[in-house]
Amino acid sequence: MIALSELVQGSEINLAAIGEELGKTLAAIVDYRGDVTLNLKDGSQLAGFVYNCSPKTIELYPQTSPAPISLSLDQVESILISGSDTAKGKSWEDWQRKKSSEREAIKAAPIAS
Amino acid sequence: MGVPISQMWTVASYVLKHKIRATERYPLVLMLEPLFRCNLACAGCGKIQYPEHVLKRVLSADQCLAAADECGAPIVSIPGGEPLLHPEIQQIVEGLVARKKYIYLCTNAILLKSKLHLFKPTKYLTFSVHMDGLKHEHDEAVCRDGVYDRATEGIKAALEKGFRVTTNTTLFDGANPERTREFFDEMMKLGVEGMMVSPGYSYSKAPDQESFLKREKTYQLFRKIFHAGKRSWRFNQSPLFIEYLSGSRHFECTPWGNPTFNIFGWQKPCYLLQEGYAKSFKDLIDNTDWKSYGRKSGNAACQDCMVHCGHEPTAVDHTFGSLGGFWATVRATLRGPRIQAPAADTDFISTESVVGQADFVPEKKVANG
Repeated sequence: MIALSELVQGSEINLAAIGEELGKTLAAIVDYRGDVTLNLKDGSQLAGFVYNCSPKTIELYPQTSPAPISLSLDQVESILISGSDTAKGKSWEDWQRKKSSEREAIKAAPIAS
Repeated sequence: MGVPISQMWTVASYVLKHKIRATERYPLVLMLEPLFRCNLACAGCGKIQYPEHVLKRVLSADQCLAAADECGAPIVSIPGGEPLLHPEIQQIVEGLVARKKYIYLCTNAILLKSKLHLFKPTKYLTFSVHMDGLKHEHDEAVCRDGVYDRATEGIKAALEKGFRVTTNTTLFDGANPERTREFFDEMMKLGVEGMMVSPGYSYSKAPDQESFLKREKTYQLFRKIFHAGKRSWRFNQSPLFIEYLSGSRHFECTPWGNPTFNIFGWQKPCYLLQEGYAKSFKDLIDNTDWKSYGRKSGNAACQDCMVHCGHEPTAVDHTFGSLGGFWATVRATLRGPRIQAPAADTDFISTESVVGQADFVPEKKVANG
């Protein structure tokens, strides 16, 4: 199974090779807050944001089209994680860590006389 | 009392109608997200991290109104993103008002003053202004200096023009109870109709024990804030929800209570979790595995969640679900919520043993607020 944390920009997932973990892998791709590129079996590519999956279909907003598209998974050869994760480093925990270290730095700074 | 009687009557008659019909699952508030774009990038906000081409997309006014019709909830909350950035926000609001929906337009209020001319004051429209505390706390939470001052300017301008204005506040670990109480005083001085408070949601895969401690921490925080609460504070939410936040009672989540609709469709299962999208509201209600959500389900993502969008519908359902619930609401409305004293050696009320949707806590364990 591919965990969300393992989805890094540049990695490619071959759907045929995943087997029983397909559902969980697709769920991780839906969770990923960046664009992906679908490499289709007819040789074409489709880049966009995947927001929904079912056992048979994948739904995405293509980068260049106003309307969403639904594709049969049978049409998809592999999925390339092509865009950066827009949520990376932006969690509340990340923010708390940053603020905490800032406060510590202020406390540690010498008081100007 | 923050909520107008006409709104209470609308909600009460709506809930009672569903009770009489024995509707198993009905929505209370439609969370309508017409866009994800925002003019702030608040820390921890999970709503705006999308690729640029997604942030540029919006629901049309027609799509928004169709969703409101399809859902049927008497209240429509419009979060986002920042709804005032939506090019058709005027049409969306006008269409919802025409449908006699009570609207909470959730805004950071940066643009409120300059956009007020788009709207007409009505009992159906409330600006729900995001305020996470006094100036220092709020500006820190939204990661930009000066936003508190802009928001208070917007609130004053809206109140002067006769609009309903409330505040909505998210409190996270580390919130200062005394400063929060001062903040409540300040908002009341500003003249807002009422305030809404909720703990923040942080997704957690922590083991149960850690979850429990987190929950106890939340109880302590809210006890410190609400114990001996001032009569001058007005809240635009169920007093039973405040008792729940303070650990005086337990509510299970009602994840279908505040269904969410956005550019992707009807979000499964709730406002906070994104586990796919349904094509229609009926599809959402009929084909979501609801028993997999809420604290009792054991779902790790739900263990620490005490957020209003799942638990306030339970509080409202409890109010109209039994005489006891109704009486508890009347009592809490008239006399203030029952809040246990926040002593360090507090005899915590274990929520582990609670089975039902709601449970009263023996009075001896609860100090009157």
